[in-house]
This record gives sequence, structure tokens and C-alpha cells, in this order.
Amino acid sequence: MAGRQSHGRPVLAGASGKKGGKSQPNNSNKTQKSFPKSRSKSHSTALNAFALAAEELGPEKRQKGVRYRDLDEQPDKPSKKRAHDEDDEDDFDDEEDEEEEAPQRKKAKKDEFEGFSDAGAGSDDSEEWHVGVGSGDEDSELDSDEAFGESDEEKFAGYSFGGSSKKGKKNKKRGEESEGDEEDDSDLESLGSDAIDLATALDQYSSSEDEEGEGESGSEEEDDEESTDGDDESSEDDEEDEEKMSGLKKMISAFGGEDDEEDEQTQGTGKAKLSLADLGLAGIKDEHIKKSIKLMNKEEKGDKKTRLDVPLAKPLQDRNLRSAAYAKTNETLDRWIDTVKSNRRADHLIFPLAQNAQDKGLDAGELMPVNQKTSGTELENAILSIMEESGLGPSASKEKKNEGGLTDEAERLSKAEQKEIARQRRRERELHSREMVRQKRIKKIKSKAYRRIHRKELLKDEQAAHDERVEAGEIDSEEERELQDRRRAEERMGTRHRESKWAKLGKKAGRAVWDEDFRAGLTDMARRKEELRRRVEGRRGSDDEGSDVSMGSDDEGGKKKLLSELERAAAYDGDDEPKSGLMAMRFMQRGEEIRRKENDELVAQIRRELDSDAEVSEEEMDIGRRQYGMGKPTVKLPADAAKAKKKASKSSEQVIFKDDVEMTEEPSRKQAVVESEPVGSNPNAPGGWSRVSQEGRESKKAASKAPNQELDLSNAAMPATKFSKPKSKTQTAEADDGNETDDSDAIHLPMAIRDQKLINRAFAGEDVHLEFRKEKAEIAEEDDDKEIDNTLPGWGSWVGDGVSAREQRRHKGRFVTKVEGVKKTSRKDYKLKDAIVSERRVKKNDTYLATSLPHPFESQQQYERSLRLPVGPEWQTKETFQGATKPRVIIKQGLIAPMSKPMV
Amino acid sequence: MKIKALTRPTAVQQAPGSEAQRAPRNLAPEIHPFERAREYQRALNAVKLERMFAKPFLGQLGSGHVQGIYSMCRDKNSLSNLASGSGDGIVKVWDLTSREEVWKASAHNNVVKGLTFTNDKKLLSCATDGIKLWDPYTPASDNTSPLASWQEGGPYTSLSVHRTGNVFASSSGAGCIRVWDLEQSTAAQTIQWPNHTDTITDVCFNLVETSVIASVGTDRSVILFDLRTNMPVVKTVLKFAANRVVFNPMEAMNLAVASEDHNVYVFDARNFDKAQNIHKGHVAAVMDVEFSPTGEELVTGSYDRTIRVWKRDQGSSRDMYHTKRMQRVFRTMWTMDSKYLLSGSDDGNIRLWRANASERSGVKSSKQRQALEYNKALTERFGHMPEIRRISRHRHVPKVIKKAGEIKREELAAIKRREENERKHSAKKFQKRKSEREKAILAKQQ
Repeated sequence: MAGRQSHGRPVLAGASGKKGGKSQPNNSNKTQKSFPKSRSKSHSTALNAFALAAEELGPEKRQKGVRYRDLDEQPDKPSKKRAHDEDDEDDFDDEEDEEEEAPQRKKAKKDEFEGFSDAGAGSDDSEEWHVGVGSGDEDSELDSDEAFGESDEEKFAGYSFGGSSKKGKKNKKRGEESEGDEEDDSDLESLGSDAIDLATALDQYSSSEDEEGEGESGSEEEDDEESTDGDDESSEDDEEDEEKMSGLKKMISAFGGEDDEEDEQTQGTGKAKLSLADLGLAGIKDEHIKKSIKLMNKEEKGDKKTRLDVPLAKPLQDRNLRSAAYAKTNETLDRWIDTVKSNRRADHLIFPLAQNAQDKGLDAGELMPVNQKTSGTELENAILSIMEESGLGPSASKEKKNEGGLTDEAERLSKAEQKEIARQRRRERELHSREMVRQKRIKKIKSKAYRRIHRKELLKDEQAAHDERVEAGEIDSEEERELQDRRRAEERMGTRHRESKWAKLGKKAGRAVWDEDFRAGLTDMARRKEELRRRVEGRRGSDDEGSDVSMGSDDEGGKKKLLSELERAAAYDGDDEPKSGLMAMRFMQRGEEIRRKENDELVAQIRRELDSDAEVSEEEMDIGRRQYGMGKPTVKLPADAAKAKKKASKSSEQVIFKDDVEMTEEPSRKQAVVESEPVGSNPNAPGGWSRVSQEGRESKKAASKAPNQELDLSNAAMPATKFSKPKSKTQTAEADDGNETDDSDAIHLPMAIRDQKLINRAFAGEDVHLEFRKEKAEIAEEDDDKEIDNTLPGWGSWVGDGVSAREQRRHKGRFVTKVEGVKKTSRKDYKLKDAIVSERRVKKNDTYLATSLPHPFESQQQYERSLRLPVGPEWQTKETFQGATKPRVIIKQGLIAPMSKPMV
Repeated sequence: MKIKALTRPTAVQQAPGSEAQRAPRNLAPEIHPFERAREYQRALNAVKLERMFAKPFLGQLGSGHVQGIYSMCRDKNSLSNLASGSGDGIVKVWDLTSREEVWKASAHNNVVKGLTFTNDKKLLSCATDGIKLWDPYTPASDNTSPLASWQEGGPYTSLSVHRTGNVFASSSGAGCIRVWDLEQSTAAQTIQWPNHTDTITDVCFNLVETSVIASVGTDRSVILFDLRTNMPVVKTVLKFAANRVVFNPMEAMNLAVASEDHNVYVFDARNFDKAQNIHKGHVAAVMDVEFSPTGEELVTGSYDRTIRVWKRDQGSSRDMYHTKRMQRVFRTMWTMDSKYLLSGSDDGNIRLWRANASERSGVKSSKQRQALEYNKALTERFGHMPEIRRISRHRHVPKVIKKAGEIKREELAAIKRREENERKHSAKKFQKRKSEREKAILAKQQ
């Protein structure tokens, strides 16, 4: 395979002998230039890992079949081509890229010529080849012409595209622009065929120039390329080509038979036209021609304000076109997204796809008459409904037959049955409550109002921005123009996308069945064409403006109308109708009531909006707690009532804390009260529960700002108090609603043991804490890393009396094995004072434990839940078992054709 | 001779006079204790059995080619048609059911670079000396001479046929793609990225969104074309050149690219900012990639003499196939029923493989089918357990490849380490890390 590189070859053997003349990339040499040596080396080794491994293991270990050609031991044939390929292959870095870029073109040429000589093709080939690669100029020209289809040529006949022309022409365009700003498009348009002549003339000119100066052409080419690459054509180019420019101008002037100055003038005035009188056709009587003349005259008048800009440079234009085309392509690709998503999420996929099977069956189905049941597709349905309307459908004949029978049927039903049916219908109707109808109306109005308001604002903004820009004189700015160009490109791509024969090829695949675009294409295309044509001619928007104006004037009236409509909707009431039994029911009425309220609110809101002409923020309306379900009438408590409630709650407190009765009732005298009876409770009384716990908590938040007033009580109860009395007193003085917080705390910890005294008594005489600490230390010690001294006394050393202590010490730790355990600091309970967490594990169980949370699960609970139920037939019913074991992808017999239409 | 058969009366299954069938077993949970332990054990057995039955290689077709196989194609409207082209210009057509050669022609005088069946069972082949159209299925004396040939334009590197139309695309050494009508002698369209002159190595029609074409070239570019607008629409330059590009037949927007850097990248055609997925595992350049007709799996052939099968949404390969005699694999593909794989390699043989190594074709009793499904469900359920995972992932790998994998891992780790060090001590540490999926892309042009 010529021209292909691969990293599967050894580095050292210079080349491999694949018949395409593949040579070995010597990566390490190559990349040393730009890389620090080591990295490049590891890059190349990583990529050549396979070859290296092969080498390392040696050729004798590999199987050598009859056909085996030892690819790795080929004579070294480093060709130039190979070297280029290497470049492509190796560069990770930008430096090398940059190095490459300049000579790339040449290289490419060389490459291809070599490839060509390899191929040894006929002379036809070679000719074509040279055309394709040889000169960039011709190449680009060809390309542009092709990219710019015939249809576009028609549409954009008015434009002269700078891109497809030579450099000189471009320069000229620039020149013109700078000279006279009012280069008029009317010229181009009215000249029509002349304009085309000009282009060809320019081509002629340039070609003649090429012939003249062969030596220059090289530099010219380069210039050309630069210009196509760069976004803006620099003025330097202009200077360089000035002589050419002048030549060109002369040439043009010669063509038109006019001077330069004259030309300018005519451009300025925009009257370089032949009138009919000039042509001697003043007295024409043909109506058609007259009409067209009229049109032409109109155009002339209108031309002054609507002139076209100088088109973008070719590469820029191309890029615009491409991005527009890409957007279009993406649009079509997006159609499949829903299907892909649903397929990916699907529990089961069955292949071959049913849609493709349907197509196969369609042949047989086509012969059958289509009726309501068998018409599967939208298209068929549409046709069927049309036929039905025109009385040609399959049911028409049936109806004819049944015409007589229908009345009979009605008669056949007994009167009682008929009544029953009627009653049912009435009920159904009522169920669609009147308020629903009202709501619908209001919503409609609301949406209208919204739209109107928004549109108006939008238009205003746009207009303001536009005006501003006009004033600033930047309406003709680059940005604007680019935007326009982009839009134009999009339009063009849009039509082509739909119109081309490629889009039409879908017909064979039965696209019309599902592809809305495909169906709607023709009409839409026609519309777009029309629009485009109008735009090209420059007579755009007179109607639009008119409509705009009318809309603007309409607005006030519209608002009034809306208001009146609202009025009506608000007034709409179904109460005058008699109430049926159903509506008499209470829950129905309640529901109705709620709906009415909502509707009223809506009406009010719309009114507000219309009045203020501003959006009322939704958040404003939504502040506060939301209510769901049946609207329970909210009792709005007046201030007095709230107070009363507070009092009530306080009185309930009084029930609990008998000591505080006076205090709560008369907060002004509170301090005195507290002082008067500081220790009012028996520590053993059940009332002491909450107080002690409160104390404990208090100790935690030492700097608490709202300590409670019962501290003194708890202090009294505590044997080892941490609070001094005066302190507590001041605290009580400050405290106001400590009771309440206390209460809530008590609720949070219902199980906490509150009576310290009780505890102390229960464990009297035992130092539980110390024991616990001891136990913990023991366990930690046991689990810790251990060093076991395996030294046997007497092995390799003397034992017994007379052995010095030094000797003994020397032999002590000679054979030590270290047993890995859990270090004390890494224990789970290291920081937990009052807990022991076991670190022991049964190693055998490790095989049954997942090492990490498997992919789709997000939490341990989720994962364990998924494993909770077994799937086997012993534990599940047959159906569940089959459902759980059904594979996700089911492949049935037969050929699996690609998807042919979106399934969702 | 009297045969005594063990039979049960129907009353055992269904009591006379009642509608309800008797349950075949007692569902009381106390009779079936230790359900998770038992299911785990079953899963373990299942995965062991699965490995035991894994015999992927079915055989080779006929006697192969004399030279290496560098192009292969199958008929997308048939299960049995296959064509292969070898280095000496010979094209053969095979029948997959009999695994025999059906037709043979000396098509070109050089490497056959591209092959494709048209929609009417004709065969197109291309090489540096042009494109030729063959009719292998019409029994005639002269069906070894081409029906038509095209020589316009440069040396051709690959072919791809439109899903329904009478149209095919060819990539050319001149950096453009040409779209041909089978009835016309000149190219209907020539599309080229402006100033793009490097060889385009592979071209591929999208079979779902039928006017989109993708191509890869030696300049490391992936270019997308749209025939409706007759334009190249987007060009992406990767870090490495790619050998092959294919579209997913079930997901119109996704395409896979077989890269020289040992990986397969899956891109979304609408967004080339980063790869959707990277399939890593080969230890040499990936020569060919293809989506299964279900779009759920991929197969790749590599220069490291192995074939790998991948799931669409996983990064590492599901299975790896190799034989001792198989050389560099240049072409791999699925059969249209997505049950078998085909590989064409440098040693001139076309090999037929099972797509699922342990699966056996043929009719199965419902009981067997259900048992297999149960096993599969269990292995999936407990697949993450260490023991089961180890067994299911274990493959015998040729030493060369194992060694290469080790070398690669080591070197990549070294590179990474160096980069991290560099990061630590330079301004780079303030830069955001680039994700692996973004790294593959060098530039995007429009």
C-alpha cells in the first residue's frame, strides 16, 4: 500500500519491504530536531512498541508460513517520498509543522508525480494530473466555477464575484472602491451581458499577460496564494500590482471605448445606460415589451437607494458557503438524533429493523386497496383523506349502501336507550367545565398580548440600533456585510440542499414517506427563489415596510381590542345555565371555584401588563409558599389573632414548666421573678430531663448568645457544674425565649440520656472510660504492624552463661519478619474518642466483594438494591425471569440493512 | 420390543377442570436459600463455560490469494457475496456459504486499492490504473473483461457506493473526491477542499443520511462532504493520519476513524471538537475499522496482526482474535447479519470468524436458549466481581503483542510523567488539562 505509514515496524531496520515501497520511518532521528531527546524517543517507542517487541522476541519465535514474507528484513530503500510521509507522521509539535508548511506544496507535487510514475498510467491521466496539481491558479478557478453552480449564476448574475477572478481584478475592485464610493450596481445589472463580457475580457487579459511574462508568473502565483490564504488583501499587493492595474484599466477603457475619468464619472452618476431611444426602438407597441420597459424604468428610479455591495473575497465567501452548508448538513443529521437517543436508551433492540422489513412487504401491500386501517404512513393518510373529501374514498361506496340502513338503525334503538345516550353525552359536556372554556379564552388573549408587546419592543430596539448605526455611518461596516454575506450563503446552501439531485435521490429510499423537508421542498424552494430574486434585483421590502407601518398603527387599536376581549372573557359566566346534578356536587363546585379564581388572576395580570406595557415578572407573582391540591382557603390571621396564638403557645409552655408561670406571663417582671425563686425544683423530679441535656449542649457552644433561663435549675442539679452562678444569672437576665429553643432541642434528641446523675449512679464504682480506653489501645496494638523476631537462640550464636550482653543484643533482631497491619493513625476510629471500629477482615470474603462501585450505579445503596432480588427461575415467576434475562440486542435471521428513516 | 417411556399425565401440569397451570416448582423462598451465593456461583460457571466454548476461528475461504489482500468488500444486499482484491491486481469473488471462489479476474496490474459492490450486484474495483466495472454474477464467457472503465483523474485509492442510487464515489491521489454515475463516462462531480492536494486515502458514503461523504487523507485530515450542496463542509486535522473512515449504519452522525496512532476514534460529524469515544488496545496502526450492521459493535484490523472486536460504548476491546499464521490485517468486515467477521490479511487469506466467539449457530431448544440467556444475564450482573472479571477478560495473547503492550504502557507512562513534571514547574500549571478526547484533534477548519 503505497503512501501509507505504519508504526508496526522496527525502528532500526531502515525500511520494510512492502511492495508499495514502504520504507521504515526512523522516528528517533526525525524527531530529535524539535523534541527533547528522551520524550521523542519514548513517543516513537510507544508507537513502535509492536515492532520492538517483535524484535526483542526474535524472528525465530514467530511462525513462518509458506507465504510469510519477512517484512522486517528488507533492504534499505529510503525514498524521498518516504521522508515526506515521515514528516506527516511524526510531528507532534508545532515547530515542525511550521517548518513543513512552506515546502508542503512542493512536496505534495513531488509526491504525486512520483505516485504517478509508479502507476504508469496513460497519457490521459498525466494530462489530467497536471491540471489538477500543477498550477494553483487554474485549479482555484476551476474549483470556484464548479462550486458556484449554474443555478447560482442565474441568481447572482448581478454580482461579479471577485473570488473567481484573477488577482488583478480584485485589485481593481479595491481601487474602484477607494476612488469612487458610489460604484453603482445598476451598472452591472443593466449591462447584463456586458458584465459577463468584462469578466471574460479580464480573463483574456490575464492570460495574455501570462503569455507575455512567463518569468513573472511564479511570483504572481505566490501572491495569489497569499491572498487566498489571508483574510484581507493587503495594500502592499496593490502597490506591487500597480503597473498591472494600470494596464488593466487601460484595457478596460479600451474595451468600453471610454476614458478612465469618464468611467468614473459614469459610475458616479450611474447613468451609463443606453436608452431605448438610442437604440432606435422608441416606438415599440408590443405590450409585453412595454411592460418590461416600465419595470426597467422603475428599477432605475429605485436603484439609487438599493445598491449592492462589493462581494466578499473568494476564500471568505467560500468559507461562508461552507459553514452554511455544514449547518445544513448538521440539520439533516439532527433529524436522527431522537432515534439514536431512544435506541441507546431502549431496553431491547431487535434487528433487522422493522422499518426495513416493512419496505420489503410493501410490494405485496401495494396491490391491496388502501383503507383507513391499512394506511400506515402519513402520506397515505393524507391522500386517503383527500379522496374521502371528494367522495372517492373506500367508505363512500359503503355509505351509499348504508344510506337507507342508517335511519333503520336509529329506530332500532329503543327510546330508553336513546335517552340514556343523550344523558351520557350531556354529562360529558358538563364535565368539560365552563371555566375551562373561559381559561382557554383568557390564555389565548394572554398569548396574543404577550406576543404583541414583545414584538413591539423588539422592533423598537432593532430600529433604534439601526438608526444609531446609520447615524454613526457604520451601517456599511465589515460586520454588517459579513452578516449579510453569511445570510446569503445560508440561503443559497438551503436551496441547493433541498434542490439538488442528491436530495432527490432520496426518492428511491422512500424518503417522501417520512421526510417533511423533502415533501415541502418544492413549494418552499419556489418561495425562496422568488425572495432571492427580489433581493438580488434590489427591490426589497417595500411591502414589508408597509406592513410594518400598518402594524405599528394597529397597535393601539389592537390593545383596545384585546382589552375589550378580556372584558368579555372576564364577564363570561356560565351561571345562568341550569345546574345539573353533577354540578351540584360539592367537589365539583369547589374545583370550579378554584379555576375561576385562577382565571380572574390571569385576567388581572394581563390587564396590568397591558397597562404598564411592561412585563410583570413571574417571580413577583410567585413569591410565597406554593399551594397544591384543592385550594384550601388560607386563613389570614390578623395581627391580633397572631398575638393570641402566641399567647396560647406560651400558655402551653406554662403547663410544662410550672416554675415559669409568672415569668412568661409578665416578661417585664421576669428578672425579679427569676431571682426570687432561683432553685425551684427537685433534681430528682422528672422535670429535670430536659434541663440537664440543655446544659450539656450549652457547654459545647460556650459562647452562645441566647442561653436559656433555666440554667440555674440545671446548675442546681449538676454535681460537677461548669457554670458559675453569677454568670448564669446574667444570662438569665438576658434570655427571653430560651424556653422555646430548649423545647425544640428536646424534640430533636428524644433518645438521649439526660440525667447525668442517674448515669453516674448506675455506673458507680466503675471507671468505664478508662476500661474502654484500655480496650481500644489493646485492639489497636493488636492490629498494628508487627515485627516478629524469628531468631532462635543457639542458631549461629552462643547461648547460656558467659555470653556477654553485647553479644546477646547483637543476635537479637537478626531474623525479623514484618507483618503488615493497620497503623494506629490510619485506623478508622483514630479520631473517634468513644468508639472502636474493627479493622479485621476475613480475607476469603474479598473474592465476593466488589472492588469498586460498578459503572451505572451512583451509590452503594443503589448497587445493593440492584442485587437484592435474584433473577433465577427458582426465585422469580416465569414471566419475570424471561423479562430479566431477555438480551438487549436481539438479532434475528437475515440481512440487517441500515436505518432508512427516523423511528421516533 | 416394548419400550417403556416415562410419561406424565397432563393432570400433573393442569388439574382437570381448572384453568390454572400448576407451577413447575415450589416458589417458597425457604426452599431456595442463599440465592445470591448460588447465583454468583452460577455466574462464575457461566463465564468459565463461555471461555471454554470460545472458538472464534471458523476457517478460510478457498485457497485465498497469492499475494496479500488489500481490499475487500461485501454486498450489502446479500449475505453470501464477498469480493477481495490482492496486491497483484487479481480480484476474486467468493460465496460465503460454500466458502469457495466464484469468480476471478486479473483486474489491474497493480495493487487493488478499492472494491465495492454496486446496488445491482456488479463489482467496482479501483487501482492506480483506473476504475473498472465487473459483472461477476452473469455467466458469460467474457465476464473477466470489464464492463466499463474510468481513467479520468488521478490514481484512485478507494471506492464507496451510494445506498440506493446508481452512484459511487472515489477518492483520488489528487486530493479530491469524484462522484460518478455508473452510466456516464466522466465524473459527475469533483469536490475538493480548496488547495488540498494530499492524497485522500479513504472515502465513505453515509448509508443513512445518504448524501454525506467522509474522507481521510495523508495530511491527517478528515473531510466531510455534502453532495447536495456539492461542497466540502468541514475539515478536521488530527494528530495522526487515519487509514479508514466509516459511518455508523444506525447512527447517522457518528463516524469511526482508524488511526495510525493505534486507536480508533469515534466522532460526531456535527461536532469535531472532541472525539465521542476512543477505542484503545491495538499496539500498531489500525488498518481498518467497520461498524457492525447493528451499529452496536466495531471490528478493527491492525498492523499488529490481530483483529479486535469492540462495543460501541466501551473503550477497550471486547475480544481479540489472532492466529499464528495471520499476518498484518488490512481489511476486516462484518457479514450483513452481524454474526460473522471476515478478515483479509497480508498473507493472502480471507478468514471467517464468529462475531461472538462462544456462540454457536443453529437452532436451539427454548430451554437451551433460555439457559444461555440466563447465563448471559448473570455474567452481566456479576461481571464486576473480581474473579468473574478476571476470567472473562483473560485472553491468550501472542508474546509479541503482550511485550509491545508493555513497552507501550511504559513509554506512555513516561511521557505522562514528564509532562506532569513539566507542568509542575512551569506556567503550564495554570492551564487547564486537555482531555484525552480533545487531544486527538489538532485543528478544525471551515
